[in-house]
Amino acid sequence: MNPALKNDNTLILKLVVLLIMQLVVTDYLNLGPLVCVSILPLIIFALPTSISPALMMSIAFVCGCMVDGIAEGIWGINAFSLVLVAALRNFIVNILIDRELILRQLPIDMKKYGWPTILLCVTILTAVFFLAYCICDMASQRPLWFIIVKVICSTLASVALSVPALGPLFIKGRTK
Amino acid sequence: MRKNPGRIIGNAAVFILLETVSLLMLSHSNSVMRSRLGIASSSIQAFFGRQAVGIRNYFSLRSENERLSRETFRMMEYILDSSTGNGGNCHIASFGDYDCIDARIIRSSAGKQHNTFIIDKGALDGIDINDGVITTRGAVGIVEMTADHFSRVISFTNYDMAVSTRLRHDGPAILMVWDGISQREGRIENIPIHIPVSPGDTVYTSGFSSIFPPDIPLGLVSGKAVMKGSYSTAAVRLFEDFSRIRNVIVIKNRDKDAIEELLP
Repeated sequence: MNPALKNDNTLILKLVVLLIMQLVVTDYLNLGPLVCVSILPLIIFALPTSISPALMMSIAFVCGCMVDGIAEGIWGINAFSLVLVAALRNFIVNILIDRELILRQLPIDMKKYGWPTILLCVTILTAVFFLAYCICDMASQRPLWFIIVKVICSTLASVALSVPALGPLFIKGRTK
Repeated sequence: MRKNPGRIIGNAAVFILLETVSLLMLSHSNSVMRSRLGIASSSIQAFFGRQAVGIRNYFSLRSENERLSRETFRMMEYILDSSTGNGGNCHIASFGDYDCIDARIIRSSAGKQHNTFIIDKGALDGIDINDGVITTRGAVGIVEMTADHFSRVISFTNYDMAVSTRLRHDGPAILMVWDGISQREGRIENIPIHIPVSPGDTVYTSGFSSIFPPDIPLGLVSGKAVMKGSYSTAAVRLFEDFSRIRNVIVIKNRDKDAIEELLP
């Protein structure tokens, strides 16, 4: 197991809880055809910075396949979108938070970097996720306005659902 | 810190590999769903669906009872019409070549573009792939996959699904698809421009597919036809509200195999 994950059992537990929440949300929360809710991008964003991109993408693929198989019913759609999010995570962190964070493998701390920055990262990654998701789901079948509205509505709803989890995941003082 | 080219190439390779695998799964989603893996995942969904459906039904008992009594009344009407040979508005006669199996929906997705539902009857109950699924208010889906005790049904509210329909009793066969937004709206497409379409016209199943019997009423044309080149399209207000379906009827065409053997 990756040392970062091995040393932070509470993080693993939190991520597993979030994954179970996602399975329940995908299965039972129906907000209409214009809104999907996903906290999978938050799970990927919360992975330790010391994890290699290849491992992060592999974790994303496994998480995506679990949601696809158990709750979504369409194999590959969450896996594809989440691997893209995992591939972009370090890039987004480098640009929006701090380049040193990845290089020195520091934890993402909301007290240090402020909640607007963390929320912006989660929002961008969630938007990327839903862009890929909606294109896979209905490209060429639905008009462009429908896809854009769905991406925006789903991103806003998912970020709103992610907000309560930001504190437990990114305020490091609480867990120590 | 210097970037390691080997690591970058490795990460890129992992990315391309995982995305390719995901896309392959996505493009073969139907065949994956019919594989052992798909049956296993549908079994998990069915298990959790059975637990949830009891809770959900408890909180909608009153409306469900009202709906069931309305459906019973409609069925009685059909049976009475059929027994008296009144063929005008009666569609039960078309069920002569069909076996019917009642089933309960134990899990459904309603807010997606690829909506499906799982019913509590499977291969051991006599259900086969490509059997039609109806309610008293219209055709609602086609069986996609069967396990021993449950089946997965592609809902009409799935953009991969199209139903062969007929506009009025005398109209040509045209395809009806879901509009992608509302749980009660469909769209009939590719209507030849010489065919008059008026709001209030009834859309029926055509019976050309060997899945659904002919003349099951599906909905009413709800707006004026919109011209698209040499064809037109029109919105259809469905009789069935897909967000409220609890019980369905699976219909099996006894002659389906013989009909399909004759098709090229």
